Amino acid sequence: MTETDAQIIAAFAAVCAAVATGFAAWTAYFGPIRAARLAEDLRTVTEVRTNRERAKLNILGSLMTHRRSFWLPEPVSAFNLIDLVYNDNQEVRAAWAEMYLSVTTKSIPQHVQEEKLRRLLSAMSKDLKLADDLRTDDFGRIYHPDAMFEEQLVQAYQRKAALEAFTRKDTPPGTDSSSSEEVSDVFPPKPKRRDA
Amino acid sequence: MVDEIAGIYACYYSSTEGYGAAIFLAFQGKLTGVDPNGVLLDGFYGKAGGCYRLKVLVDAPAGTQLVQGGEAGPKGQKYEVEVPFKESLTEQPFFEVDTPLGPLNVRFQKLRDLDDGD
Repeated sequence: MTETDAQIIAAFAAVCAAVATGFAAWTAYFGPIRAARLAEDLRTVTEVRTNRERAKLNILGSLMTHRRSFWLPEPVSAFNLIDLVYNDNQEVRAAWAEMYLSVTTKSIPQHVQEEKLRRLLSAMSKDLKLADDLRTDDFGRIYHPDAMFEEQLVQAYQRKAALEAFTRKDTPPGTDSSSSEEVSDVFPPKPKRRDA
Repeated sequence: MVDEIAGIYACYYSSTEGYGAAIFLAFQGKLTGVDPNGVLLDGFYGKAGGCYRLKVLVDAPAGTQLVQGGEAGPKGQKYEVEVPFKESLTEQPFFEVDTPLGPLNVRFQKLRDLDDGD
């Protein structure tokens, strides 16, 4: 081996050492950053999953609590969030679609609506892995004391009376609000609305 | 010539949005009136071709609540209506009147006749 060969080998080794040093420096700089990003991504995914589970649980809890009073604002909000929060579960969304159809169609008997509701609650519970062993009949067991029922009845009558009072304000004086469509003693009947 | 239409009238009108009433005087072919909101009625009536025709300019001041709904604009609201009738304004329960702001049903009630010599 000549002196030139030795110099070439030394130069090559120096270049390799420089590359290795550079790679080590790059790793030392970017390694923690990438690790932090990976941890953040994992945390975000976990947080999103946790938030979704919490939202699902809130909806299920609201519906379970108000199985006898669906007209209240809280269960109404819960129903309207099902498609959004349970968008990853087709079984829940199908059950909700069936229940929505049953409560918006006038000819559907009440016991059918209740059955649709129990199926929806069952599907939501299974999605959350809360009640794999519960049957739909178990969701029909509702504790609803008479005092609460009477309270709701009073509120319903008060709401009806308030609605009638507002309706009466819209009719002219001297006119019976129950026959607003008939010719009154003084005012003629309202004309038909023009088509848009 | 006896003016059978002359008299003091009340008119009650209904739209799809509400109700209203006005008072007007019809005399010698002219008509003048006002409603509680200050909407002026000014027009004339006459007989031609075997039937009468009532033509009224409705003048609502700026900001007035209109019976058809909404308010008269900053410059007010004016429009004309026509009511054809055969013999008297009270010959039918009400008249269907088309206005630029919407349809009205108008019922006339003659409060006093001006040709009875009283």
